[in-house]
Amino acid sequence: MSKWAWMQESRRDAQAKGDRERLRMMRVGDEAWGYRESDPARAQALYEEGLRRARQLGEPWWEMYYAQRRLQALMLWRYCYGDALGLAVESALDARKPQYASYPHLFDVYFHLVMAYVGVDPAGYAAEIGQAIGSLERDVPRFDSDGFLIEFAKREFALWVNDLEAAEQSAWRALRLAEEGVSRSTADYFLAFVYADLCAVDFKRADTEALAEHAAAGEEKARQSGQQLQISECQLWQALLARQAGDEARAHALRLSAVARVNRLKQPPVQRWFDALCAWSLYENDLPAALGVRDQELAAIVGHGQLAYEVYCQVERCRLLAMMGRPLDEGMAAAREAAGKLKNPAPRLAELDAIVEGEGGPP
Amino acid sequence: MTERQRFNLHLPGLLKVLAEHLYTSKKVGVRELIQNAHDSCIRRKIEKAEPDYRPRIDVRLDAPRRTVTITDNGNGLTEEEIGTYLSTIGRGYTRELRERLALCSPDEAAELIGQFGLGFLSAFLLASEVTLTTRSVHGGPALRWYSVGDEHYDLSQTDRAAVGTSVQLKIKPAASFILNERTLVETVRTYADFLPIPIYVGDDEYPVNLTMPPWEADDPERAVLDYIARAFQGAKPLCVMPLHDAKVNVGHDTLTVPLKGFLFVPPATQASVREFGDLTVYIRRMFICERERDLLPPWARFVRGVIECPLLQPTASREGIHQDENFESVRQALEDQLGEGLRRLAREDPSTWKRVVRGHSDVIIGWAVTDNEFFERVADIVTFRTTRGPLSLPEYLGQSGGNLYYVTRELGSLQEQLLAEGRNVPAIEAVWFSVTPFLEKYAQRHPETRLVQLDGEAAQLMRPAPEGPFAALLDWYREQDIRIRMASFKPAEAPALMLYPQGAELAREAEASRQAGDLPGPLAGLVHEYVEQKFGDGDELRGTLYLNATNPLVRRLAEKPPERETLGAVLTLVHQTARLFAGRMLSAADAVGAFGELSASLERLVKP
Repeated sequence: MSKWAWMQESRRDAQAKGDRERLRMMRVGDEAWGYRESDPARAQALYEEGLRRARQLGEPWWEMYYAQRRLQALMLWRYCYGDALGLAVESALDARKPQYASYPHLFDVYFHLVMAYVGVDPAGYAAEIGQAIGSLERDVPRFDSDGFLIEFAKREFALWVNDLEAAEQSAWRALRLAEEGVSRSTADYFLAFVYADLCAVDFKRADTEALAEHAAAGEEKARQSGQQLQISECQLWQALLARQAGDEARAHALRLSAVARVNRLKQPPVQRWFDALCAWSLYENDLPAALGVRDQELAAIVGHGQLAYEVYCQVERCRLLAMMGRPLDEGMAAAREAAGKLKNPAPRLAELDAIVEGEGGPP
Repeated sequence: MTERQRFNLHLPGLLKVLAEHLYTSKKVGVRELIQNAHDSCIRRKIEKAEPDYRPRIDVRLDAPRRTVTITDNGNGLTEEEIGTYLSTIGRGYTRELRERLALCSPDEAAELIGQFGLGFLSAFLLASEVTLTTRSVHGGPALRWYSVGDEHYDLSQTDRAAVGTSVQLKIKPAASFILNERTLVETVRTYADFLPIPIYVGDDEYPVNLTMPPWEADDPERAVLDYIARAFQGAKPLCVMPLHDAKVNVGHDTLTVPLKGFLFVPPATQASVREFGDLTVYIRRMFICERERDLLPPWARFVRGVIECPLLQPTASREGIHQDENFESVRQALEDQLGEGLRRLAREDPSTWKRVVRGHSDVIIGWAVTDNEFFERVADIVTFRTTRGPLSLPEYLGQSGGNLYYVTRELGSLQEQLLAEGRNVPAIEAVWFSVTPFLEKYAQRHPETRLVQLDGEAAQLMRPAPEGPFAALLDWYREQDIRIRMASFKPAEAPALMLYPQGAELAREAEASRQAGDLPGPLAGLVHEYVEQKFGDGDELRGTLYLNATNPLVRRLAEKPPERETLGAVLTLVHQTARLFAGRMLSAADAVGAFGELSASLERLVKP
């Protein structure tokens, strides 16, 4: 049975029997999906409602389904990784029970386990994550759009460990997948993320031509699938490029539009967004503004369990402080403390030492 | 060279679009025709001002001939009006009349419903043929209009004495469900219950619709309760909050939101999941939709209601509402009134407020975690399941001395309960995932309150005891490789308790999974990586036996130890009893082994 077929069959069955309680339980997920960008906390609460209802109705597959959706909301919409890893491990162990033997969404369970590690400390667990992604691809039954999820996991991991080549290769594979018989709406949804990641690669490589192409394509896909954050990211890249091309009016208009859209959403933006915002400020050498961006970024992520991201942000802050000739003590202390929580803090500590020595390089 | 062309209309195609994409139900055809009939009566009232005019609508079913006929004694139509409005798609007389009236007679304008000029077409959702006969109040011959839903219609003069209009639908096979009087009555009630014009179905001498919303009845409180009983098939609600016009801040200005209706809290029930947060919405007394969930705040899952608000804009199908600025204003008005209503209830009728919160505890706990203001309102009232029955947090803290002791597993294990009761404190059952965050939020707001998770931190209910006097007992246990500690705890009757760290079951499952090899290797690696990070070498996962220094048996064994074999048998009994009593971390094989050791020890003790 395909990934979604059992859900459709469940709904038809409940409809035929006039079972309003079950129908309500099944539909609450649709309601939650609509809030993923505008109010992810509400989306999570709705998934918890679904989980409660499924448990009370004695529906283990729906219970597992909503447990995974809840994890998705926690990790991928709210970026709260503190409890996510424990929950992901629990689900993975739960999924071994006999009632889940033919559960069609098993892939999601292991995907979330992998993404929990990617979100917490990708470099520290690089070997384990790499092998787990390989296992996800090889050993776990897949349906429908799961291929996009595998490439998403590969890309996110590759970007975090700065393997731009691997991230790019994954993006090309995802683009090919989009031509292989998935529905247009599914393809557009995932391609928005693919292009957003390609923009991150292009930016790190300073490839403005590719960045322009991918930002435009990404914005189109994001508009087609209604993904506001990705629209904003792509607009911000295009704003940066417009500025570099000397078109200040277009640059500011794009930036304003992007920022206004992000401010309306409650889903926090990702690292790419802050990198782009920082680059905007650095373009005119406005170091205080760039520092302000990193402060804003840090406030959004600190305490949410994204250990590696927190350290990255702290290191970038220290770089800016060093460039501004401001005292480093406080920033360094915070950065070292954050780095101490990583599985392998040595590389980051070395970066911090280099900054102290004046060899840290530009942000 | 540019040429101006005319669009062609393919009526059957348009009807297909209406049927398949605009309307969700064929019953909407009845709604639209009743609405037209209603507007026709209002038109006559407005345009003719006859003091003895008594508007009425009749719905008649002729099942053998497969017809349903809707008749009104309204304005009727002239030939010109038929050509201009009835047979011109998208041009509705009612909308134009309302626009004309809006400036000089807004009250009369507000009575009219029709808007899009599409309604009459919906008759073809039900009918293969539509015959309209009409005589205008303004004079002229009676007319017959007939169509089978293609691009043509027939128009002729006919015999009809009465002023008004009749629309006869020849029901098509796919809509046969409507050829049932009960269905017609329910359909009329669903869509037109509040319309002021009486609607009669069949030969019934009484109208089937209420003709007014319950809040406009002479005894609105009684009428609302009766309506709730009829429309929601439920028992008496815990409370009802009437709605009223409200002023809402819209930035630079305030907007008056005309709002009528009521909100209510259904009674609690153990029988099924009760989460609502939905409204039945009327616009200009016409039913638009039920189970609208976006108008109430998300935490209001224990509330239902019926609202009437002309500010809301229906979609083209009039089965939904546009979520525009007016929608936001209405939502704000509802949230304000609901909040004020609940605050007033808490203030003026605290016992009912308590029944509301406690009757819907599960729902309220879940949503209060995500809404600070709502949390503040319910934090001290909502009850939790504890070892001493349902208690609110202030009641609980009065018994616990200021700490919140909770277990995240079902209150089946007596272990933590025993310890808690030994310290004369109840334990809160925090199995539902929303309970722990609620308790955490409460503790944050009350810094003097400490949270203690008993499954994992139960040792906090014990006091350390010196090992010296009990060295012989401790040495015996250590020789058996049993993790052992001395402690003082209540009840003194318990010689020992076996405690495991939080998450021990997870670690055990992970180990079982590793041995079974039932997770793909690298994915299992991620699981074990987590377990190792959390539990280190895992020694504490075996559990720790806490020997009770206050227990008379333990003290006696320490003060006057018996010969070694007997000592061993007794200490084995103490250990295995504690393991079995803990009820955790024991497989069936472990339990069999434990019973085996118990039996062997007892045999050694009773041997002659």
